[in-house]
Amino acid sequence: MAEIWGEPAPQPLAGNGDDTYYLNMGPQHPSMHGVLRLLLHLRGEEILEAEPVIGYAHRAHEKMAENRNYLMFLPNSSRVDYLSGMIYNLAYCQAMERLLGIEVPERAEHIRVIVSELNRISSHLLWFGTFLLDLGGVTPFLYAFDDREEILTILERVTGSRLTYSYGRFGGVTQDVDALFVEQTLAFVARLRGRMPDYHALVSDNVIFRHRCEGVGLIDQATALRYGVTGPCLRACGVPYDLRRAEPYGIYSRFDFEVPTQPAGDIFARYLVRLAEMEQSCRIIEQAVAALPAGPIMPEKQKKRFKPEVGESYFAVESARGHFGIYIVSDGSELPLRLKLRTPSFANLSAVAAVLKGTMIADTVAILGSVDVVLPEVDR
Amino acid sequence: MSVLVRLLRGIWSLMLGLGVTLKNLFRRPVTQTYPHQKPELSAAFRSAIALVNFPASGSHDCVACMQCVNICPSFCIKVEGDKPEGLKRKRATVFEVDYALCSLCGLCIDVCPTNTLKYSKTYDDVGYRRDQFVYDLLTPFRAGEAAWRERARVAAVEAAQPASAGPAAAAGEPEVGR
Amino acid sequence: MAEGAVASEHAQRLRAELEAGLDLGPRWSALEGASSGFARCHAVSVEALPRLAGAFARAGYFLELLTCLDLRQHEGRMRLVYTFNCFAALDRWRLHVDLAPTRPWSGPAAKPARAKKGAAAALDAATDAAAAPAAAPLPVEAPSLVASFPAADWLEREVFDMFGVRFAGHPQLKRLLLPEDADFHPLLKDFGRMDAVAAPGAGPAMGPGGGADG
Ligand code: SF4
Ligand code: SF4
Repeated sequence: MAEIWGEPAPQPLAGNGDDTYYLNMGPQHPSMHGVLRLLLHLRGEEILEAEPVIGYAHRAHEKMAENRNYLMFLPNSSRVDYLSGMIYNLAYCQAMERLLGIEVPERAEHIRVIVSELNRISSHLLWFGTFLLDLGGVTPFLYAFDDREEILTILERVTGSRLTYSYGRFGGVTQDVDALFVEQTLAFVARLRGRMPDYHALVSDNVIFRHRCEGVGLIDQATALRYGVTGPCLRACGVPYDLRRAEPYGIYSRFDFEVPTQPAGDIFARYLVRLAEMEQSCRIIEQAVAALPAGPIMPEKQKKRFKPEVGESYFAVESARGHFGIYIVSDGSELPLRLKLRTPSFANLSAVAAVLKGTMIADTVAILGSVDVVLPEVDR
Repeated sequence: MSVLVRLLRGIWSLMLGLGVTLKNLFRRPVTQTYPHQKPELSAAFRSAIALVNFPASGSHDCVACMQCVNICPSFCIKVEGDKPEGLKRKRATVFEVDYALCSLCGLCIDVCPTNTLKYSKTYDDVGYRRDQFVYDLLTPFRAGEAAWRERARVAAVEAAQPASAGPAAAAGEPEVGR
Repeated sequence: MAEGAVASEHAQRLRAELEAGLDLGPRWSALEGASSGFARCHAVSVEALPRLAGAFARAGYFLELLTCLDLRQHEGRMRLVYTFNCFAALDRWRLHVDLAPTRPWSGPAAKPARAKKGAAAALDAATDAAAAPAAAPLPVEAPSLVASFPAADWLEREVFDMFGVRFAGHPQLKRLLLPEDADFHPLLKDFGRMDAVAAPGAGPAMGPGGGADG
């Protein structure tokens, strides 16, 4: 099988004789969340080695960036990770604003926080649904998508789009929000709070779910550090690292919220962290809505051409999956010399290979699902 | 004993979950039966771009400045223009958008100096070939084009005469606004 | 605050490690500060890099980013940029090493006016110490940091994939994102433009044919 693709066949591991069984999981596999191929070396049901093979969704975003001027990269930014498109889009805008020294009006900053947090909740809800679908629970998936649909409707009303928003511009956002948006957002927050006990009753306390998750797929702090794991996976092993706190960007330093952590580092810990994060996002949204000032959403003087000074800049935000960094090198022209996207799933997935070693094949899907990788973001 | 307790707890947790399901069983369905029920589109809904029909001039106001062509990240706009007789500004004669490539970013709409671009609200276009999505945005304006040119020429001539300094109703200078 | 205490503890450990005779190389203070997001920037030598990485690993830092810049057109070199950061508190270090071109530049020659504007050239003028001595030949290979940071495994493979830079000591340096049988390195600047097909007259066509050897 492997030779067909021009690759050397995997060598049997020393000491395993001929018992090693090679299994290609993916790239077309219902639970692979995109196109990931896992080359598993198995002995019976035990995974001796797991090798993720990536690149099936490589769209050359970084190359595209070098061929377009800074503004023209905007639509790409929401397509890197289509589940937190808003966060990525605004991150790119903020990175450019820092490079260009553009001031963002207060109202736009608040809107950005609200829509980013809504986006984070929608991403976590989608993860919640699909993760449980992977584990065999169809019902929570439907409820989560019902809630997520609310967010998409709210965001569609202001941005005109449901997934790839392209909502930010250098200096602000494209469209203003109205009273109805505020009303809908607060109604959604209330609704989600009402749903949380249901989710816990339905899933968190479910004995079958607990048995599949507790003590499985451990990522400890040392592993996280060596692989650069970030996001909920890192916070689930007890490290309170959240860029909204550690390196506050935008106006996040003004809001009162907690960084939920769990000590265990297993699948269940990651699950709990994400659920707790949704609640914290709700808190941020409430505060941002309450503080939403009137005013412009774009700076008064808007430029059409952007030419940053010669220099480099690294800007990082906390996406729904972790530390998303944008490294821009400008040579003073209208095109970036280099635009590198440091995506959280890339680092997290590289750690999965280490985590999978020694686990049972039946846990693979659960572990992979709990890490919440978005393949287009890994491949870029 | 503890086995029994764990067993009962486990069963109870499943009952709890079933209770949630039962509760949701009596909620109103949230799905739409799409082809029978048309979705309600938001005002901001973004679909393929289209040219605005300005009531003041009775036509679009594309001056073929190529700014949208140059900013489009997907390189999917094609514009050609000529200079109508007696007018200072150019006028589009070809305006094609390849919707199959468009990434709906809105940069063209932002950049247009005459604000003559907008999003349309079509959502159900289907086709078997990619070239079916190359839209000719001038189609709705073709019929009135000759009349517009004549009106614009007359208006320009009038504006050039200092005596008749009437209201600036020149078709070439419509109200700016989306 | 407890967080601050932890931060200084990591920073102290790093300082202690660095004081143990490690060569950090010239400092690039022009890039430091709030506007760039880097706390400290240094141009380090290839020889010092693995030991520095070890020091960062022991001090509890993680490898945040590894990427390459193709500066062959104006400065005749490739540059690897590493950033290390700390979970406990923000302390982003940016180190870079300069390498010899992986292959000769085949794009348009640097125009004299542009050469002055080259990113590194402008910054070189602003470094505290003189930048890498021009006389010494640049190294061809970078050392692999996989021993200190397993995260470097994929990052180095990606750089190899996209730029053709080789890393000495990498356990399995093969392509990461592109097909294994690809014979080009697309992020090199003379690879050509990808969108030339869609944009008439935008530049040379995509691919190995358009961008010389790619
Ligand atoms: S919306 Fe964006 S991609 Fe579409 S035509 Fe306009 S500029 Fe091009
Ligand atoms: S930017 Fe506006 S006026 Fe200029 S060519 Fe495009 S549509 Fe026409």
